Amino acid sequence: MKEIIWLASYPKSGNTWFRAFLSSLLSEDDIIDINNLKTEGIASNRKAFDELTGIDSEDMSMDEIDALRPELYEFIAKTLNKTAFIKIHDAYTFLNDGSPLIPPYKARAIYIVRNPLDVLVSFSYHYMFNLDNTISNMAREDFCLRSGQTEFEPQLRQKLLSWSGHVQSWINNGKIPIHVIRYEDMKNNSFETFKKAVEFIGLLYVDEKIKRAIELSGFDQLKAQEEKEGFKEKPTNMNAFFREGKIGGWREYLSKEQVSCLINKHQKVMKDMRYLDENNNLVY
Amino acid sequence: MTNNKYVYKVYGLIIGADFPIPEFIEFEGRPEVIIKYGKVKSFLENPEEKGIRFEATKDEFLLTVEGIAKYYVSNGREIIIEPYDKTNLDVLRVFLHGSVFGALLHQKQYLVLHGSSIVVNGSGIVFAGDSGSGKSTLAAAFYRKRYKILTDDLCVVKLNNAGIPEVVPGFPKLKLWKDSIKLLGENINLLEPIRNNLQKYWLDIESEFSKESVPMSKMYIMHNQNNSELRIEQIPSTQKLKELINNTYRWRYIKKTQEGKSLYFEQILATDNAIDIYKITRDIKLCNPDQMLTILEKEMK
Repeated sequence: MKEIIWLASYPKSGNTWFRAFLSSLLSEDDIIDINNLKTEGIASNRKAFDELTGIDSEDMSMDEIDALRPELYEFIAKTLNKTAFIKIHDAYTFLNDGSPLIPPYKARAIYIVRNPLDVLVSFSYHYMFNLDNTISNMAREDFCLRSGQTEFEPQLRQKLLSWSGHVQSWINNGKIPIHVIRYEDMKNNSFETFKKAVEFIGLLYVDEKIKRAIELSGFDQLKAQEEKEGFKEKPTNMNAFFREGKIGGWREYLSKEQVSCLINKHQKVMKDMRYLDENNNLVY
Repeated sequence: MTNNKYVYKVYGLIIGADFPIPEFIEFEGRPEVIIKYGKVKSFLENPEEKGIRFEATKDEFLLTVEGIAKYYVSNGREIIIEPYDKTNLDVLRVFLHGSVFGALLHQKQYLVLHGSSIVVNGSGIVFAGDSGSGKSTLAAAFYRKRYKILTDDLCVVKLNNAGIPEVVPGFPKLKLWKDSIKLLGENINLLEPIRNNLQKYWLDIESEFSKESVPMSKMYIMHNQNNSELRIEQIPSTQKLKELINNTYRWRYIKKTQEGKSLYFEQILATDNAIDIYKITRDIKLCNPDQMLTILEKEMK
């Protein structure tokens, strides 16, 4: 079936990794070029908005833009000639009139979630916010990406909500069928995790092809490619997009206070996602 | 033709309007395009192209901007606007100057590039590229060094009697974001915002506006790429035509008759023949407009 498979996640949770994996899977020769992934770009792409609506989004307010986005995605879904894999960092939110930003028409989603302590460190490096600011941003229900209003933003505003809000908004969206995968399972239990995702999408690939795609999209391969050729999605001034990619890497960066502050704010969802066990001990 | 209260010249066309368009240059003459208020149809019969808020046939174009206005353009001769609220004319004009004029110019069978253009040594230089690639800001940097400016955003190229492509003047304003204005060193308090609640402003460049068409000699395609070192590469002659087509303003609007198609290709081929095209790749955050200007001045010597 031709449909949109949304690749949804809070930033720095493994979305690019999953897209690299898919890219290898979808290419006949297995090759991954991180600067030319075979997935369809990001939902907040401004150029697509302008071309398909006929209106310059630059001249519109962010709320005016959001009001048209559901129709944009429905239009894309109606005119698909193949299944489209679209990355999205927006939380699953609703407009003032109650309609969802991401309409359910011909849509399913893979949701990737990662231990928020590791997200915190990675997010802080990516946007060059300090750790405490990032902790507070991850707790803000009104937090947005690309909400700057004084210069041209190549992407549209993305409402993220808090980290917990983001996870819950997608998992409990009630509109779009969703398959949740954890970054940690992609790493520790790769074959089974990726195979289930491939089956959810409805792609038919033999196990060898899936194993090969996992191998080629491994963190070290992506990092090596970035070191050699650069990565166009890396923000200017950031040293490297593919930094460490470790599970539990946060232990080298966060103070006890910072850890407990983050856990306090996200305890319920961390428990739901099995980042905290029943005694509230950290799993990773 | 009705008696229009306001008459202007823009993109080589004499325009008669029901309401003032202060961005345009006033003119005396018989209008060939009319802009007026009126009732606009809700949809086109048998549209050949349909987007989310626009529909087009070969000689009709309809655009709806919710809360602002519906715009209907026909036969390259008339623009009818049905505003949601007539009291806010500024915002009506914002969308008029972009997509709506783009459609009108396509209906006129003009070659319309998505770019700003300036005059260097008597030649028209076009800065093309996607939104946000820094076209207007670069044009503004040249303006500050007293170069003449021809257009911003929409760039009409017409063949003169000798078949030479010329850039036709638009109107003497550049649309700039707040941060670009600061970067250029202009005083933002003196500038008029293009609409309320948007940090974009009109920079008046009338003192350096070229009212005459100028033969086009070069097109620079601006491409912004994170982390990229500045590169200026000449596009090989076999690839130029493709670049001209790619940088045509909103190609989806172009639904042309057979005659229109041949006119478009006649113009684009003559332009292809007459100009050199370069691609500029840079990280806009690492290469500011004044640095870019200095490099281009050397290139163009």
